[in-house]
Amino acid sequence: MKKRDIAFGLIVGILGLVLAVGAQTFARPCVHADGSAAVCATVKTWLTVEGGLIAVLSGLSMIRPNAVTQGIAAAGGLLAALTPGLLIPICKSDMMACQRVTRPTALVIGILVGIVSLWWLALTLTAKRREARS
Amino acid sequence: MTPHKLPLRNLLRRPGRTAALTVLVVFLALSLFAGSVIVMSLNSGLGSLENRLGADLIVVPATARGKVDPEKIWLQGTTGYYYMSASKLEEIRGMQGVAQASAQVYLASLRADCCSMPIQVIGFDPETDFTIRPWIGERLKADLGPLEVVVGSRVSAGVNETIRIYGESCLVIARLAPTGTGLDTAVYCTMDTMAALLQAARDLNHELKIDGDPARVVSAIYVKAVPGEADRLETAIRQTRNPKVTVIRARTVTSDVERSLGGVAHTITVLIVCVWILALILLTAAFLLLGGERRREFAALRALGMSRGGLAGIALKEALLVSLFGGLIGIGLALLFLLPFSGLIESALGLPFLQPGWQTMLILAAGTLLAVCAAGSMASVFSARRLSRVDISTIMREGA
Amino acid sequence: MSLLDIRHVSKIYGELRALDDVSLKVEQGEWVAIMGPSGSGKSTMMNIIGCMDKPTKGEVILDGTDIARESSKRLTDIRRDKIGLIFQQFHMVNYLTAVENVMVSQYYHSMPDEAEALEALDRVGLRERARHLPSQLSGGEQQRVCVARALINHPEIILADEPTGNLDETNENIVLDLFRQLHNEGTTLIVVTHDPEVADAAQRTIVLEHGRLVREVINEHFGE
Repeated sequence: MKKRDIAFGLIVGILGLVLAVGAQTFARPCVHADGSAAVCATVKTWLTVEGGLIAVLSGLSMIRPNAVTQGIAAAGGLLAALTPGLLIPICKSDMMACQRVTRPTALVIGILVGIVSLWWLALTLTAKRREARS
Repeated sequence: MTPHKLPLRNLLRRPGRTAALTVLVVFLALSLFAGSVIVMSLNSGLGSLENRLGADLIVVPATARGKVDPEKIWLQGTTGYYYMSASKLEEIRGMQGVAQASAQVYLASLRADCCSMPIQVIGFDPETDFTIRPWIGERLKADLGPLEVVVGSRVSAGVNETIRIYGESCLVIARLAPTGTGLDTAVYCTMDTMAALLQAARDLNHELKIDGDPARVVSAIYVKAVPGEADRLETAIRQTRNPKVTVIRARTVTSDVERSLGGVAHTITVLIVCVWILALILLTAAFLLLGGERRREFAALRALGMSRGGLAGIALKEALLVSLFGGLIGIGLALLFLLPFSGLIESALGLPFLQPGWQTMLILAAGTLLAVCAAGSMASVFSARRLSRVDISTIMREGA
Repeated sequence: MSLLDIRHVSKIYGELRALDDVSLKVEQGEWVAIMGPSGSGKSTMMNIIGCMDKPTKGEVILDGTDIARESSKRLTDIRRDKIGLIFQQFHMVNYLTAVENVMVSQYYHSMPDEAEALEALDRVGLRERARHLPSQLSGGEQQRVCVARALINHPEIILADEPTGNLDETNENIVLDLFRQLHNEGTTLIVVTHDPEVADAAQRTIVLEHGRLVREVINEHFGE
């Protein structure tokens, strides 16, 4: 394992875990007073799955750097950024938790995962090209 | 290959070292930019609050504080309502020292579904109002008709959409400019519309605690005093009876906010200064330490014919590149957090928070970048000076 | 007129006389070896000839200019234009490839020209290794890159300080062969060494002891 892959893998993996755990805890969407699911509850499930997927992919790519897994992780980040509000509807009111916390959290983590994974992917591809040339 | 490319090549060939230096610069830029934007947003919020509470005195029923602090309605968007007879308005208007007086009526909508919060509805009298009208006037030239409303910038309904309040469909005809205060989450209508909404609430058995005609109640009276008369007028209003009232000095509200804001701004400034001192010390030490490793490389370049200025230029250019790169990342990260999380920051601080426009942000970003580049260059000056004075003859003879 | 004329040069560090009234002439195209034990003043001599240091006393006339009287800036110009330096520790820029190391040297003299730099590397037998970093090259290969870097600007003098000190026998022979070629082409070579075999390859050997020139030996077998 190269130091560079460990660094990138850790960053992406931790971001994925924060997203997965955050969707269930500090950044979870609104819930009814009686605890039943609100409209935006589906977002919680999706963000947890996406975050978990990103974490697993980064772990795999850390052990064996692979452009495909890195590409999927980047796409996962983008998907997570777009999930609340665009892909799955959330509350319209600006004052609700899903608008104030869930959406920004997914957006920020998703964008960061996307940028870091794309960077990682570019480095992996460059290294492969260099290897092929030599 | 020319020596101009050496700084970039060196940075790219040592990604670990470059990343460590960049992280330090990111902290510099992030703290300065985010801190400045937050302090500026708080200041703008205070300014817009002063404009929106553009009265000397605000009179509410003495029982109001038992229900909800009026300040919370204005600052944090908390919903609430309380009423007193509209005759109080006539009484105050008749008092000596009153230049202008206008009433507002408050109503809180019910939570429509799981996905919405109750909305504060504020009725005002377009004939006499001097606080809301100028604000609405920025976006709406025509008068508000029956069951027509204007919404604050944070209300989710768009123009030409309808909002249902106690079963009444109200048409949104304009959206107000953001103020960064609780007033952004309210809906504004005329007194006639408000009377209809109050009646609708009553019809739905909503407990409003209004005795008599809903068209003859007010929640707050905004008073502008004749210059120099505010203190005397405040005492006079306080002494009135039926009902007893609480008089709130608008300046007290804003100065309370100003005090809290001063505290937050002070904390942020201290944090920025601490981060900068620490990061600058670390950066200077890092440049010196890394410079020590590069004495042979610089001696080789000097032996090949590079001037002392050229050597110092390489060291400074490297610092500048790291600063520029780190500065851009820092500003980008700050924007990535500040823009989506502005609502959360506002509610966490509990203070008016109005983010500056993109032009101001751009100026702040440019200023931050300049400051970070200057700091990075300064941190590398000692190292550059030392490297430019390498003694080639000694270094060249040193063992491998 | 000699290419290099050192007249009564002394270099004094406090109480220590690193060079003590040394005089020496080197003609155009000559190959001179400077020998001596540690502390004999070889390095000081090399630094002064290479415009990296100035003498305390005396004159050093290089191609008609007394470099003992010149400013630091002017010395940099002279070093860049007239001298090619080769060091025992190679001193390559470690984040540049072999060809880029040669091109940096070119830049200070005229204009970087990759084709010419590759030709110089070809001359030292390293064209294939042109895109390799110093860390990917052996010691002998690095020294050959340094020879290419020194000769790229066609200097008046090539000044080599223990050029084979870190090399095995095979690489030592390769470097000495390169020196022979350069000498045959008319380049002036001054080689500081403590290795008698390297000194034997030169036309003339100067021996220094305690900062004084004690002996001068003409190699009668030179060219055989």
